Amino acid sequence: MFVTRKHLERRTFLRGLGTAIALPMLDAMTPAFASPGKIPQGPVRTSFVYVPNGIVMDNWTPKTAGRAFEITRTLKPLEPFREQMLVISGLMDNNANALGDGGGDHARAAASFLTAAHPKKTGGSDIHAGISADQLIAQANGNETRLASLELGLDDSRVVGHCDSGYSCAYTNSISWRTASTPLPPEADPRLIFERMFGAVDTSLDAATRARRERYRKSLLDMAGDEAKKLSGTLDAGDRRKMDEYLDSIREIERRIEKAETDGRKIAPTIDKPAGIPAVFAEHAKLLFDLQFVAFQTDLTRVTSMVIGREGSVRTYDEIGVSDPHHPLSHHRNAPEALEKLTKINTFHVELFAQFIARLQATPDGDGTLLDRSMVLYGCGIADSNRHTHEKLPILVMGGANRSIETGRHLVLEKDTPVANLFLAMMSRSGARRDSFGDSTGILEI
Amino acid sequence: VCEEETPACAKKIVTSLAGRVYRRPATRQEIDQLTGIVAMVKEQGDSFREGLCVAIQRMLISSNFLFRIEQDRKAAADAVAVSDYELASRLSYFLWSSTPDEELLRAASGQTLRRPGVLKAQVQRMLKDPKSSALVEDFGGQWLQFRGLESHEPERKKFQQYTEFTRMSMGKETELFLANLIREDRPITDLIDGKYTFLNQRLAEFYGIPGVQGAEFRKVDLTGANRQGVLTQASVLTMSSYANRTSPVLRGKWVLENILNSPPPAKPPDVPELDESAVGVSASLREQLEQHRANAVCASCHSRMDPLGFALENYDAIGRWRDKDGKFAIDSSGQLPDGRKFTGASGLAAILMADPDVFAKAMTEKMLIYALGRGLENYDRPVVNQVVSGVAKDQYRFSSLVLGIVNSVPFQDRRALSKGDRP
Repeated sequence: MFVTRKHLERRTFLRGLGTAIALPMLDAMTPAFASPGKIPQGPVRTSFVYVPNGIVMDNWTPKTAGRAFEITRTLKPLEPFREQMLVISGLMDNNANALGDGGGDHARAAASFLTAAHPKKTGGSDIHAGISADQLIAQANGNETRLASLELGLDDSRVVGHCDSGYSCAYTNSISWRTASTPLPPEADPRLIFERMFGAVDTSLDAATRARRERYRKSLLDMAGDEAKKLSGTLDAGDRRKMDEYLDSIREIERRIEKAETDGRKIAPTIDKPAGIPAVFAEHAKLLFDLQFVAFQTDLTRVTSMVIGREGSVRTYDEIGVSDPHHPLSHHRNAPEALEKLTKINTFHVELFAQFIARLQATPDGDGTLLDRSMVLYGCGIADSNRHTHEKLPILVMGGANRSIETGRHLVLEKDTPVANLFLAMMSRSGARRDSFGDSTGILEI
Repeated sequence: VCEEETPACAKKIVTSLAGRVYRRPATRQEIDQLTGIVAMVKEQGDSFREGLCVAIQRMLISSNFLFRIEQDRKAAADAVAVSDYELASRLSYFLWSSTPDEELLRAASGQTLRRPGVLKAQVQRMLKDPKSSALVEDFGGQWLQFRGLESHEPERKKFQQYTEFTRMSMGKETELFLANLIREDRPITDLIDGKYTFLNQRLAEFYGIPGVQGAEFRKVDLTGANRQGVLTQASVLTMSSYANRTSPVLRGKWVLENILNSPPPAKPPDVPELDESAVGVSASLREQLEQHRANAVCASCHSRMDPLGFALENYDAIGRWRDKDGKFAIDSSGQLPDGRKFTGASGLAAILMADPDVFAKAMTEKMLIYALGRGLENYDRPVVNQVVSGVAKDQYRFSSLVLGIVNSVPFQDRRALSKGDRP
């Protein structure tokens, strides 16, 4: 157990001799502006969707390579989008392997998947992995959109302490990392995500009053920023990092306000404000996918990540007739009954995902659909959950990223191709081109 | 503070508010900036009231509010006492999860807070204050994990008695138990063997305890009932189970981690999981685990964990009493690696109480982590031992634990800057 304080949920306390310092939550200050405008043509939207506890590969991987690949049982819900689908077999997440660190494959799989880094084995505050692919994309695109990125997940990420064999829960909670030491906990509450997207604006005020309020806000942010900068000079390195995060969040809000003023377009919510977290898993998932859809549709952000379930999840799926907790079940020992139940869970997750893809495909965007503009990765850092294997991973990409990806095929790679090579390929299509990333060996041709 | 819409009144209001929001007197520059905001808003044509609102917004996004800032100080020694205002904040965030009240700030401003009598009286006052419910919810909720009930989802088909109301009642029982322990300053060993608890009709029926009518919670004597302490409360029993069944391993681990603060090492990779479908059908859970322990590598940890969990096997995955699991009779006996044998939850409680200092030490460590907001290091060991011996001398009373922590060096001091450090 590690103890934090509920009343200061969003704030982190530092170690050190009694030094306590907190992270602010300033999202509520995000404004939504009203003035008509248009989404620029053609920006690529990228999303990373993660499922936990491996996949029954026999029911996932098509037997045939190339364009003639067959739709397998688990991929069935995506059949209508066969031509927009790229199934990739043979990718490896080597950093999820022990590499001398012993147990903890679930934590490592989640933490290394998008970072291509080998997470430091610790349950304390000295967590360390790497900046994640989605965040590199966010850095490259963040200035264009009101939100640099969105991180969503279906689990409560306030879980703290050790989550897997001596690994901090931060590793299993988050797949997105803003820096090597700053995981971004996925938000589960649709209402809070909505408010982050559209602000908590009081529409009853007239335009002049609203404009005055915005001016006040801006000067307050200036003052707070100056004060924090001065204070930062008197702090030690660890505390200064926290203060820098605070300054970053102030700058981020200033940028959002400015962006909202200058991009001159009205972003009206095309979704009703959600009340909270739906009790039914499938409804919760649908709502989170809907919010991502709306964020892409309105170009509020160009990159999202979504954790359908945290690694090691023990969720039960009564609604599809699987009452065993997922993680113990995933150690299936090749028992046919267990494999059958796992396949049901795998397929259920793909079904939920397919609804998101369907909405993207049904939405015209320029001369194609929103799905044509997007690339949505779906996968897991574990292939066979029984033995915790991290090669031949289950991974697919939906959407052509402006026809720059050859979809409608099953790409079978040389064994042990680093998954980082795929991320490089995706980054090159989303304005974040670079030559290497983590343990990459080159840019994958897709 | 004042009514008239004048700069002087604005200054009075912001000075008083900023003192509370920043948990220390505001500086002259801070006050100037805040009064400047009120004036600026008025110039723009908005009201005095709006000006105050904007000034308050300014305070609420200040790093002095959002962060608890403690000034580094130079000293000849390694550690240096924090200021009285900083100590007041440490106290109030420890016991209330909230900002110091006026009385605490007054004691800080008069520099009387550190006087032994004053500090003790303040702690006792704070523990009696309703705001100490934060200690129950935040410390207790995380330590005993009843906070996690919100996201723990037992299999509803199998456990139809587990409704939202049951879930809420379970958490409430443990909360009330802890709150009572704090308010009445009971011995912390009640957590292990207290023969009382707090029940409403739902939980009483759940536990098979007659004579509790209605939704109101009340104190219930457990003499003659097969329950005592938190280990037999439904919240703990549920949180230490899987959604569909109990797990002696999980429960044993739970006891080791939370009651003894002696967590087992991580499990080795490539360990096969239990055959779920066979539990209670072709072999009892106990038989399956005994097979598992036949392996010497597994036995090294499981011989510590499993017996503790087996003692609680008479309680199902949502904490109801049972004599059978599936078609197999429950065997709740166990033997510790040192050879001591015991049976059932009461036997487990007796073993835990054989040396109450072991539990007192575990609880001290958990609470010290909470109070300091950091993990413990080797150099904290003497502090822990000192607190435990003080607690033992005071009949394990809850307040002696809190006072021991409040009076400890890491709570009172912070690391001093040495010569080479920046000011």
